[in-house]
Amino acid sequence: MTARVLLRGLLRALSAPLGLALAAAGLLLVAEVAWRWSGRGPLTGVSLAGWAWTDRPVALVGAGVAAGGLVLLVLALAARTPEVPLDAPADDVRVVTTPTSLARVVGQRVRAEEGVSGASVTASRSRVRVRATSRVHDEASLRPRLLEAARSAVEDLPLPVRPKVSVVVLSPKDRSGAAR
Amino acid sequence: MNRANRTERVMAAVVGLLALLTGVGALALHHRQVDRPVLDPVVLDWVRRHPTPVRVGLVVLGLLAVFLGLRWAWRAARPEAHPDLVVDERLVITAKALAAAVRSDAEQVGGVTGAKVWVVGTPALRLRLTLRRGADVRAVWRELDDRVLARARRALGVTSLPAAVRLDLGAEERERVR
Repeated sequence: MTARVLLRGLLRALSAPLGLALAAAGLLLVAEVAWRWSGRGPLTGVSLAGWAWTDRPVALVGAGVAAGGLVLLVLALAARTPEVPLDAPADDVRVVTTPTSLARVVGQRVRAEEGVSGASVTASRSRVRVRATSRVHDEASLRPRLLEAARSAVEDLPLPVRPKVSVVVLSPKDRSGAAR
Repeated sequence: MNRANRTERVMAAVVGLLALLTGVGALALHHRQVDRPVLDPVVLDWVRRHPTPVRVGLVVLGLLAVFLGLRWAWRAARPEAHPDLVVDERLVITAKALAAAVRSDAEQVGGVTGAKVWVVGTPALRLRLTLRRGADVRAVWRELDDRVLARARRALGVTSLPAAVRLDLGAEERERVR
């Protein structure tokens, strides 16, 4: 959560200088072409002539550009706020919730079931995974009930695409059964 | 919901991807010991035979870079606008007043424990509602449009009021410990 806020801030902070740099590069390109077109020779004197792919600086610049590009790409992907879309009540109204909220709602419902001693839930817009622990029930008896509870929690939300729900029950009963 | 940053993300992703591909391409050619000049004679020759389209293409590319770059920088650097709504020359609804009115309406909805409202357009709203644990999300969702947004639309005399709403669900009520 806080990491994402930081990344969003970083992207914003980098966007201003990068945007200006891109605009400056574009301006320079236009000026250079215009200058040469009018027959006044090179303007900036920047030229790739004389360099071959085997030259070491070409590789170094290539590595630098690739690394910078990768950082930017990762930052762009990570600064996205994950959201779970809900049905839109009107054309111009967009309603969303967060994966955390979805996980919380399902977790509360599952934990309220009898015999569940703990549960952790991870959720995305397409999938809800529940890992519940129980001391008194084994997986075979508890799992259908929890699946039902988790599904009904999801169905209580106005979701346009219903996520797939999966439940795993961890129980010492199963472990002792397996050892026998 | 936070302030939109789609322009920034798309621009960073596109520029990053182009830089990554260019850099990796240069590294690959270097690694394979391609002993040709960077300004390849074949390409250069083609450019010499078609000077006008190449020049026009480069100028267009440059202008596009100027436009997109400035837009990118401006979107990121400007503070988010919270414009007042001018109904007519005698009546102006300030962004703060509108946000406060919608907020108090939203907080009246059963199950909502907290609401934050921003005016982000003329008129457009961003809402962030926190729902109590166990709240009926469908009921809140219905009332949101039927009551809160409909009331705002009626009060402003508009038929369409774009709104982006984020619901935070299942919040534990904070208990005050003495």
